[in-house]
Amino acid sequence: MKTFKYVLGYLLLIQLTLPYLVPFSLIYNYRMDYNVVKDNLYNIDVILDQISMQIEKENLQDYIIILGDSIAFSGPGNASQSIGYYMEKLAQKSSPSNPTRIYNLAMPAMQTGDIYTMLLKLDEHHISTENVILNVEYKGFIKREPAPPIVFWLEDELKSLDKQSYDWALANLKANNYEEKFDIQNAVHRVLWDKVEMFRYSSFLKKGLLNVGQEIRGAKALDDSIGDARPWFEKEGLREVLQRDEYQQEFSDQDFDMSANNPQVFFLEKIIDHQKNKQMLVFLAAANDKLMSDKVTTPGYVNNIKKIDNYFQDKPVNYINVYGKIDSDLFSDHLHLTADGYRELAKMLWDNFEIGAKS
Amino acid sequence: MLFHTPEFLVLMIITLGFYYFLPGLRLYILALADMAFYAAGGIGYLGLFILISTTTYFLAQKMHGQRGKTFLWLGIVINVGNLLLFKYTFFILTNLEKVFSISLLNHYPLFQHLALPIGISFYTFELIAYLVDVYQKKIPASRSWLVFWVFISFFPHRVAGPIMRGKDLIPQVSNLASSDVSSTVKLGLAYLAMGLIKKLIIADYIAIAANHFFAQGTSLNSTGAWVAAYLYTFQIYYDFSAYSEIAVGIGYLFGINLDLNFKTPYLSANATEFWKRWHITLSNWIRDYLYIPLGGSWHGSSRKYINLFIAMAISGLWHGAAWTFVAWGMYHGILLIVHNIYMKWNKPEILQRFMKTRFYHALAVLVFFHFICLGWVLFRVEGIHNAVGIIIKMLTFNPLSLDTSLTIYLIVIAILFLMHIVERWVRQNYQQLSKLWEKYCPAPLRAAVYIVIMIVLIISIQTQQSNFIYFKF
Repeated sequence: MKTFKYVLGYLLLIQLTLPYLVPFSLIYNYRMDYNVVKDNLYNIDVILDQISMQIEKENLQDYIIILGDSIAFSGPGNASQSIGYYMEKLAQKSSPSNPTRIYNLAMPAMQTGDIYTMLLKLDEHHISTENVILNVEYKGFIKREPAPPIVFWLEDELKSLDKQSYDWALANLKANNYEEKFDIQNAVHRVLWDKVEMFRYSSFLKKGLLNVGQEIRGAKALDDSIGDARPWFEKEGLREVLQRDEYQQEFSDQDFDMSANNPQVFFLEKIIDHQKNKQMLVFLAAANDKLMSDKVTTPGYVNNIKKIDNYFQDKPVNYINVYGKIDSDLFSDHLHLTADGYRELAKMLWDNFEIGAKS
Repeated sequence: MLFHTPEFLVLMIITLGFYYFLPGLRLYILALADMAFYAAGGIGYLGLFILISTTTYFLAQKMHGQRGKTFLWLGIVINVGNLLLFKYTFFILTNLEKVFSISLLNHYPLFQHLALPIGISFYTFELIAYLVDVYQKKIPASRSWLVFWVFISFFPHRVAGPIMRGKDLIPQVSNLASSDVSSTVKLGLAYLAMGLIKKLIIADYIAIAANHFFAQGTSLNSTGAWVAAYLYTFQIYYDFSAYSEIAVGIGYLFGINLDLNFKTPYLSANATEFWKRWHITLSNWIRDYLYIPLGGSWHGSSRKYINLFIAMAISGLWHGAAWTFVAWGMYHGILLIVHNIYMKWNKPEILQRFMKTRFYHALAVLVFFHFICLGWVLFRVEGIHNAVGIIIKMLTFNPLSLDTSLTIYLIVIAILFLMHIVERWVRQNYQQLSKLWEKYCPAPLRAAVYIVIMIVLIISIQTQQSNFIYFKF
């Protein structure tokens, strides 16, 4: 019984102190660690909690939130090759004494429905969405037949945060094999993962231990890159891979439906509405115009790009179309960039955001 | 519902809470918890399970009359029929299609998508054992449906055993209200921790390496084939014994004693000993309800060997509806027969003396361990052709062409074997070790060690939840 009391005491101690003991860099390092988050989405809440704690502790006012998919995430390179990293450097250069903090919460495969849900989650965690940068892609506007789902990761979160939008998207989600979980199962996860710190931080503690192991072995620290970040022209067989239907479909030149019947537009409207009277920069990620020249020059494709431009020009957001603004040599494949490419993109975003903020 | 998931933890904690504080209602609490546990896998399966169990319950009550044998066979046919329908129909139809070159599955598409009800193989064996025991008057037929339901559905053992007998479990279930739970809690937690360590820290990580090797199939070289087989040998042991120990541990938390299924089986020196130490409750079931009814050893050696072979082949088929499992069962049947013949052989005196030495025993353990590893290839690999391909690679191993790049795996395997020896020593000295631990380690330190174990377990949970291997049977 005595031992049992000590066990309870230690557990209580861990519960109360663990969030303050785990180093912030283990939780968030210029972006979310995709490998940690993808298999356990509850880890997003841990990251948001820690960011919220940092904001409160350092009394941060002008921080920028980046949302989006693998482009804003800056795959396939590592965190030190990401736009979050480069923008932090630019912010330090711009104001060394009080640099603007950048929080990149983008994640590969996030769809517009996920981005909208992330905004709601930020509200839930009391993180300001006053300054937001988000990326959209051409492929997001293509008719979903039925893939990809309009909410790829955060369906259950959307359900609890905006049931109406969830119900609207449900047909598309179900067509993409989404199964509504039992509420009890969700509730159990919520209770344990959200309340017991030892469970919540387990993935990060594991990552920390693996890092220590690497250090002891004298090996290189673990890298969070998710692929080969070399330029596309150095990759053998890339052209052949891109011939697959799944990639070809991303460049479909079928006429876009820019009404709210298009799930992409539906959630963009939601996002714009959420960001009313706030500072938001939307950038349309470019495609590699050299590698995909036969696709991006078709009249239908060009017309669709114009449609996207027109759509955002009518909206109360700052918008930049990155097409043609980044050299094709700075791409690592048909869409993603090399480290230098992301550095250039970061500069473009930083300049535009500053300009937008001043105007 | 997996043992290492939050849902299960919550169900267990809630059930334990009510169980401890409302001793008069323990039977009802467990009955409901069992239903909730089973229903998590599908309401339909719960319905089927209740139907089959209730039918068996009533048939057993009718067996004391004149038509007892009829009711016994009716019960067996219903239970075996249920198992055949869900587990073997697809297998039977596929084989009939192959043999007679006819199309059957197209006419009966339902059987292509028939999911296996959770724990069906285990509860079928338990229900059959109950019917036979009642018929043979070894136990009285249960007079309470609730007691019978908790006996058959007690959730820690429902998915993958141990296969309990009515004589052992029904009396415990009948006396739940008066059972002293506090005396077994510590032991329960120890088994629970041991099972979780085996599963989360050992088995799931061996699985990653084993899967990596088996994914290469017959392109493995001889060393790689052996490494794959060794790794799977330990994976399946740690995985299944983990499940069994967690089940036993949870049983103890409820004051219920479930049978142990494993006694460090890879330290067996022959097939007969192995089956007394591996999946003990299954081998006892096969012996009592299959081998002995077939005639056992009463009709001479030849008949005994045939019975052994048949019993083991059926045991293999029980594991899964595939020829590889049947081959695995037959392989073990042959190992048993060979051992029986060897034991009967009038050996020269020098050999008899040698057999009494420790060296002989160690050698026998080592040699038999390799026979076991060969057998597991049949169990692990899909398709007889693929399995035989890997076994041939193993049997044509040339020590001079050892692939030294795999040395690290061989070291890991040696450590795993050493751990098996340590486990045996710990089991043999458990009580003394427990006393020393409590005497020389102060409570705050003991608690700290428990916390570290807890943290390591939580950290070790892999993001992709892994099932227990035996859940699929």
